[in-house]
Amino acid sequence: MNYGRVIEASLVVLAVVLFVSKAYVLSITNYSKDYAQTANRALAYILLNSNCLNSSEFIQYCRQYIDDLVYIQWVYGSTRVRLDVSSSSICYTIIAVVIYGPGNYSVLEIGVRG
Amino acid sequence: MNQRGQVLLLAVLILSILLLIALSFHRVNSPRIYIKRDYVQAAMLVQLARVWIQYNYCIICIRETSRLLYQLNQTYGLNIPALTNSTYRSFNLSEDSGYYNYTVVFYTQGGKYVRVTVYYNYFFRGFYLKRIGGEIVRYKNYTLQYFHKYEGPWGILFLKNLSLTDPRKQADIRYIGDGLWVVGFPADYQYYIVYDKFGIPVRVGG
Repeated sequence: MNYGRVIEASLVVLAVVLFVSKAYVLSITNYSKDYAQTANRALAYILLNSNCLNSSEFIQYCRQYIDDLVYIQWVYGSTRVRLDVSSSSICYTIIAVVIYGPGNYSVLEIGVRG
Repeated sequence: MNQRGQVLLLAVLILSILLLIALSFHRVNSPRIYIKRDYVQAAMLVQLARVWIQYNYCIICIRETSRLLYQLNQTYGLNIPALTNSTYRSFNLSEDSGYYNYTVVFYTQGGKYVRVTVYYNYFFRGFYLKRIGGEIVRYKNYTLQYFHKYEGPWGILFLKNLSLTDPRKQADIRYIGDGLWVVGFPADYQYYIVYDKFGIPVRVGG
């Protein structure tokens, strides 16, 4: 058995594996479009300016201020309103709750393109 | 190791390094991860503070809504940090003039996180007469300054046009601009309460 060949092959494989893993890490941390962060702040702006008690108002604000929406969902008690805006293979979900009083709240959820 | 293998190994290593350097040049310095603790968490606390003010710092309301937020934070993974809070208020309400100042501050371990101030003041400007149906009614006329101030990770945000409404529909309410309102109501009332778009009562008059 030629040990030199085995060591060579092992080192080549090691170099390739290191390269692939490092390239993968770099590629997933490379993000040129800050959809999620921008949407997070836009949603905060909506929350600061409105209590979002009205689903149509919330949907209107989302469509007005947030780009790259995939879906909007508004849940208050047993009422659930969902609007699918577009489709995307990667979707970030941002959830916020708005409290109106003891036991009284709505859950707001938006999906933005990744 | 023979020479061919060494050259091949060296070539692979050099190629890997060059490709990684090339890739790093294309990398943008913003991370792809979703920043969970951003403005939304602080905005939810602003809404909580508005509810407390709406209920005039009712102890039961503060306790119940805080517990509700804690539960929702666990259920939905909202990532709201551990908080303490302080509530302050000062007021002086008379017939001719007055003010009311509510302040709620939320603290994290790192210090102040969110501060919400709801402030109004009013001044009596005189009387005017208004014809309603077949009779003439004497109205009190006030100027009112009203705003919300939200301090948080976004900096400072003022809300000034807060869409005051009158459920009794007897008052004259007009927005002048820059947080200033003109409010008139029948002189039979010693004071009058109007509500902003968040349901917070604003009392005009003594």
